[in-house]
Amino acid sequence: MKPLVSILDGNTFVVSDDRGDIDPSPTFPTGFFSFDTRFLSKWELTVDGNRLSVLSVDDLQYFESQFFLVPGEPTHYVDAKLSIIRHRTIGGSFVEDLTVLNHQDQAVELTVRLNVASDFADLFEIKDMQGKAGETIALVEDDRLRLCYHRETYRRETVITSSAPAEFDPDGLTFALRIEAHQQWHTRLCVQANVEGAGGRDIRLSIQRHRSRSPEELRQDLQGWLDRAPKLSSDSDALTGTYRRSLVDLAALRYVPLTSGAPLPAAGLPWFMTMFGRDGLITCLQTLPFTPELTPPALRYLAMTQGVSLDDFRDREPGKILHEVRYGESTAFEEQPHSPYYGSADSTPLFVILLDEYERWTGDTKLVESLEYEARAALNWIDRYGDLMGNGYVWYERRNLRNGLENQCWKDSWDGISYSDGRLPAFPRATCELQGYAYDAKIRGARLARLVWKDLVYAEQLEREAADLKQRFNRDFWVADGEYYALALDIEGSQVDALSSNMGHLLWSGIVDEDRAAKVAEHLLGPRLFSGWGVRTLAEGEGRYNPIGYHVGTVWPFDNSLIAWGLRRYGFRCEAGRIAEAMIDAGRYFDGRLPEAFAGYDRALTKYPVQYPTACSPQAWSTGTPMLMIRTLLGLDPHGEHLIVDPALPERMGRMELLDIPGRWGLIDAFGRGRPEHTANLTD
Amino acid sequence: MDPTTEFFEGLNYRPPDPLLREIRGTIRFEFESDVDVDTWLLVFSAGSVSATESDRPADCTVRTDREFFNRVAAGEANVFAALLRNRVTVEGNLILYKYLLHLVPGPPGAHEPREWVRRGHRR
Repeated sequence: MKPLVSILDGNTFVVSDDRGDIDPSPTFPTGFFSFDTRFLSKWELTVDGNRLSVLSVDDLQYFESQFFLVPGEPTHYVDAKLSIIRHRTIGGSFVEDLTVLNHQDQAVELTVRLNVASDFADLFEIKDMQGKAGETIALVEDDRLRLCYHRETYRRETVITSSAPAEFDPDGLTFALRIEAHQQWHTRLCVQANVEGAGGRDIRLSIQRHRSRSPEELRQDLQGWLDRAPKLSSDSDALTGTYRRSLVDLAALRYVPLTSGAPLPAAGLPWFMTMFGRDGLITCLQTLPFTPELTPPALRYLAMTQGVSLDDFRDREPGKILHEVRYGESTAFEEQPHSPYYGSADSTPLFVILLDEYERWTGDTKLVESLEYEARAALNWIDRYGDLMGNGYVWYERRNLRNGLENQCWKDSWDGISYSDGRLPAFPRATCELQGYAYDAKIRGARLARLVWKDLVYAEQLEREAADLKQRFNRDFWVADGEYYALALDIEGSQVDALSSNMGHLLWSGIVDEDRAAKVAEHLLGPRLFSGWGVRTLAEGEGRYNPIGYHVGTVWPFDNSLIAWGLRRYGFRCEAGRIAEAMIDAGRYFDGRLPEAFAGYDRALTKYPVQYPTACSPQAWSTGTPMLMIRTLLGLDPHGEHLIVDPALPERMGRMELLDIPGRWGLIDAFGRGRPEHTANLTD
Repeated sequence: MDPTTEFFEGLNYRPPDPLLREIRGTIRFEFESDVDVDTWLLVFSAGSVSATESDRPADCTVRTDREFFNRVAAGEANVFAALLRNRVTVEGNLILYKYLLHLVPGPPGAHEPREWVRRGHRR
């Protein structure tokens, strides 16, 4: 496989091989994508009928890359008398500047050709392309090639133009060139993706913010984004490198949904460039101290799309916060439920949690006031619709039996939730972290009710419910023999007893009884869960444990960031530091870009972290991980109008300073220095 | 009375909705049929909504055929999916269109989640 090069702006992106070519391949999909649709499935450059080979690729920015090429397949003699530069940018449309340089003392005559095609595949079809229900036609005009797909009223169109004269045909465009000695030839190719709406114009034209941006505007936007973020300096190059990488990746992951004015974080490139409730909310929680501007648009968008009625196909209920939005053909024809889909049981409590955390940092009570009824609806959902069994816990069971998600928690693969012996429980299921989130949402909702909504009765009610939930939870979920929290309860109320990372989230939520926290920390950092690179999703020795199983043994950076934050909350400074250090170490092997997941092999076995095979990268909540780790290491926590700084850095991390942390206090600096007492004992 | 007329007339009896209290603006609906075009004007005003058969321009214009809107008004067709496949076209303020989801009924026959679980048990 050739390396894939991706560039993007919001949910418009290009994935190509290292020559810059797009080839239809079911295993490693490439293409020019926008709005969950592939607008180019072939984009293949030849010179005199020959493919090119690559000398080098520059990833200049996330929206810009450059390929240096020479004619001939790599196995052939490389003719260095000619070179080709493809410089491409994405800013709404896909623009490629193609330059051919003649290095010889004499003129050359050449045929430069681009083979072009589009299959207009929906992202959901790409791995398994079936015949399309609609029809594609190629329209050749004097100055452009138009590829049009239509199915009933649904229309998508790819328009290819060139600044230099070209001969267009249904399969591409050709340039017959003569380049003088030591001269060059250039053309600008522009590929426009149209999503047809009113009056034959693009749907997105109705949104002021959604317009093509020039590379210059994108550069300024990125610079402004970096300038607004706190400045980190540290003795650890790995840490500063991963922080810088994360800031840039997070900028790249911003996208503007159809009905929102401001950018919010998409879940991941390339296959998740859309809003996922859970991923977006957790990313905002991780990044709030650094890039708070992402949070208000995310909260407003999720509030606007909050469920108001029951819908089985979309697993929607009143008050529920969405799981996933998509814009492709299968959504448009209601074959897939993402319009939006609501199949997650955690996004709703997480919505309330983020709203509160946002107020704690910014003091923006206006937003909390403005979202009062949405927050109340979310809190009601927990008791009214989330509690499927009517026994005070949050459960999930899909009503969309066709293509709804079976597991509606973050471990949403089919085998993500199991008993210790490997059996899968019946539905509904109540996973432990959902109860932690519900508890935290009630506590935080009570704080907002008291502070902003001025409803003391409601605040007291929520606090009573939270206290009651905590008590019951500690009775029903605690596995007495093993001294840990069960992964879930099954429909009989019995414990789904696998030892898993989920209980780390419980520490973050504060639902763990003080006298049990030490045991939980011991398990999390013990040899069955801790690989040396991080906490595994499922402990070694469990029936379904597999170090390269998606949710049953791999290490997920975002999971670890919440676990470290939780450990810190209960005072386990060394343990939190140990996880943070492991993650920062791991980032070193991925140029500072933590992947979605890596293998759960023991660190002693693999000297480097092995990336999970199909993991998507960059992924928003992995990108947010170094930021939450920095917050945890420096012990940053708002207290009234002040920011508490209480650093606990492992000794090897040396010095760390974070300048200009934004919040209700204006800008504040934080300093920390590694100390032996904050260093975990590595002999165990 | 067809579902479309029933839907719009029913809006005038809708109790004030706190979830719409910050929404202000107007949507003009144009429904084509074989013979003519009907127009309705929907007004969002700080939690209350009203609808009249009126030809006034608005912040947002929604066009489709009457037959299709009958399905929307009965909860059988999803307005977001319809927009994506150009079955309904929208010009102007798309956010107002999004709030239409607050007003149209959900799909008929949807299950109460607790009821669904109980029935699953019996199966």
